Amino acid sequence: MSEHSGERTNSGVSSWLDGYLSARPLLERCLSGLGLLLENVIKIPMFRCQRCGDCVLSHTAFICSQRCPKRLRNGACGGTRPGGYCEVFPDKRCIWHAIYARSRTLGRVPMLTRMIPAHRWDLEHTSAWLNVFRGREKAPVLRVGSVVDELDVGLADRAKRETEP
Amino acid sequence: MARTLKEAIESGRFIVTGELGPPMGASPDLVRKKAEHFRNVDAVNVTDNQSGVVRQSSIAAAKLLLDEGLDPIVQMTCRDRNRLALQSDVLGAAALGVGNLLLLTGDHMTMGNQPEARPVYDLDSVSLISMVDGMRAGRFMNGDEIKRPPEVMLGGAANPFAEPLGLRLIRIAKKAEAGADFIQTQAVFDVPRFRRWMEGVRDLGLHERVKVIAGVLPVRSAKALEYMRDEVSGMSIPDAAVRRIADAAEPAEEGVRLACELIASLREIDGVAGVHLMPVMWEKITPRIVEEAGL
Repeated sequence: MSEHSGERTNSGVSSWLDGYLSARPLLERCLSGLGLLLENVIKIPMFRCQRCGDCVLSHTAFICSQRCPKRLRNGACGGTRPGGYCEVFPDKRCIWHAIYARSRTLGRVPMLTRMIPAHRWDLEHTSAWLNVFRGREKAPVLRVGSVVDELDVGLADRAKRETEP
Repeated sequence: MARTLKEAIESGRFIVTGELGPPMGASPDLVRKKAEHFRNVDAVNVTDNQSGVVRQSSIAAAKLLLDEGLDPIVQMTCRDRNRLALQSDVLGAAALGVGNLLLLTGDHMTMGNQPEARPVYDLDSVSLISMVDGMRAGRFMNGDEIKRPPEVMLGGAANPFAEPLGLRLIRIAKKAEAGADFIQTQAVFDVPRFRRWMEGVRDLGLHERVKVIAGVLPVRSAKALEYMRDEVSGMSIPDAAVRRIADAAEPAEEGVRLACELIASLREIDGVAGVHLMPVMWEKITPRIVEEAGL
């Protein structure tokens, strides 16, 4: 598959599991239901998970990007208000500002330089964990390596300058 | 040969683009009439339901401009259409002869006059640019082959005045990586702040990967400037500029002078490849600005 679609080749186990479950709808429903239950109980209170089924929490410093009213997976948009408030909900902070801030604290800024592929809406409200095991999730695309490295260096300098008075 | 954005980019000369907002009605005459204002620019942006207010479809208005011999840049937002419609529109626009697309996330409908509409946002601007770049290379989003790929220049938007700087630069880098050929910025009134942003753009070498086209918005009244300063997010307007227009005996003339001065300052900044003129509701001033600024 092209780098544009962001697909990685499924491991043998994932492909097998996907096929196995697809052929057994009752089992699939049970596992899916169990997965969703566990996810809802854990991810909703902890992360205000929006149940998109296509989880990229680990790439956004464990802040759910789908809380954004525009459901941006590569934010922030150009409409952010001064002070970092949301274009759509002016009393709320832009979620991507929060993601960037926490990424800097955790040293996860390079993960933001990767394009997170478009949301697969056929996975909406399905179990993200099960989707991972079935190989249905697309990993963020790692673009040309040198660009990421250059960005890293440039951004570290910039981050340093931003904190200077 | 007529001027086009592609030719301007390839020649390396200073790029000049204009902007046209389609009418809020079905008449083709208004677009045809306004086409006359853009005879001395390289290409013309055609907005897409700008600010969430319904206007004539940007592809339709672009076709009218093509018939007048201009090179339109069709703006496409993610707000109103899903990926199927977007891919379809790209093919349709290319089939009609459109050579440039500006791909945006899009202002939310709560900013417009029909806030009850359903937000689509199937894609965001980065994945949209990536998708259309894939189409140029002959593939639909699912990997299927496109028999006759569209040939278009791709652009994205950037806001030099939004914080935090690091995140904004990441986004521009992602757009460049996704396949953007050019970036148009929001209107610049605060040149020092714009310079700071350009420094970051240059540090990351982005000015060599995409053509940075700085936005200039000629104003004809202090009220317009005040409105932008207070109501429009993502703009940085120094009080000095507002005062200057407010105190002028002929505000419109002062607005033209201000625009020309801004253009002159922007031309001197290393890495700026052109200017994008977007006089809101004042398209007819475009040819005069181009001439007086020596573009």
